[in-house]
Amino acid sequence: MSTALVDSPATTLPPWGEDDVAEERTSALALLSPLDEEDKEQDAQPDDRRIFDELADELAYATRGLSSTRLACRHPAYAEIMAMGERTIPWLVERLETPSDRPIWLRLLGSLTRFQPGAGRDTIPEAAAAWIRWGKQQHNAR
Amino acid sequence: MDQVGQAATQRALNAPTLDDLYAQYPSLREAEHNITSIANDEYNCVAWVPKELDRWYEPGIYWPKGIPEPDDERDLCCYVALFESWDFEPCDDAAYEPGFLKVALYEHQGVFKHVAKQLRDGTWSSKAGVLHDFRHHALDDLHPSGIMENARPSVFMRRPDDGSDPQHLERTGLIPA
Repeated sequence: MSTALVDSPATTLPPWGEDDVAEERTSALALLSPLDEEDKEQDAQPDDRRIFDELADELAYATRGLSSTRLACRHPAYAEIMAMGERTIPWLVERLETPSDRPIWLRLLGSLTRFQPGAGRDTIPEAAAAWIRWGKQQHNAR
Repeated sequence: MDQVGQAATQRALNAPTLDDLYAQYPSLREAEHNITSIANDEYNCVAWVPKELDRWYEPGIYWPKGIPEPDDERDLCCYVALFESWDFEPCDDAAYEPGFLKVALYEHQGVFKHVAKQLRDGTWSSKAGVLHDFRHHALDDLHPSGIMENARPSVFMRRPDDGSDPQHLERTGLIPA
């Protein structure tokens, strides 16, 4: 798992520009560690989705009262989702479509991709929309 | 229904509720308080102070330019700098002082946990994560159990009250008193 990413949420990376999301995303993937590359090569198994959903629900329930998602990085479910690696990214992006716990999904996406969780946007809906757009671009590029 | 549809339906059923609030702030249930909003994931307790209801103030998510960002987990100093940029200055305690608006920052070992703002009647108003905002009578109503374990209100700041904020939302929210 990418422990260093859990300990150091990506707060210092440049924000996304409006027109260069895909390009920056591509370069971000180039920064992934060898461990992340191993994750990428693994095919998601049906059980992976179920396990992810259980962990994500647990994390959301446990951290809803936190004023800072940085505090949630200490939760075991956060670390377990991080350990599942890149295969969870599409599922995290999917969760951004439901307003309720979006800040924690943004934080996880930032940790998994090393890009700013807030995507350089001013509001949670704008950041969620930017990630969802990126998710669609990634899906279409496959 | 396909797997994605089932997951979306389940998430809708798992939407935040008051039970979540009381589970994570168990001492609040026993304390005198009133809920002043529905759950909302678009603003946090920091944004609740200036009532910017479309901001989630946190380094990496939304953080104003010119305000320092933390090098490690100890981010309290960054939040203090943010409040200073809003004309708050450190003060001695949480005692109500006519003519001033106060905030109390909860922290543990230099890690920011929460901020509550004082109302003109001496009570406090808080927003809990992605959950509700609510009025409470004492700073101790939020700790030391549940999600606020170890957190203490230990940094107090104030700024002159220019009277521009009627504080209606903080007292009664959208629900008639």
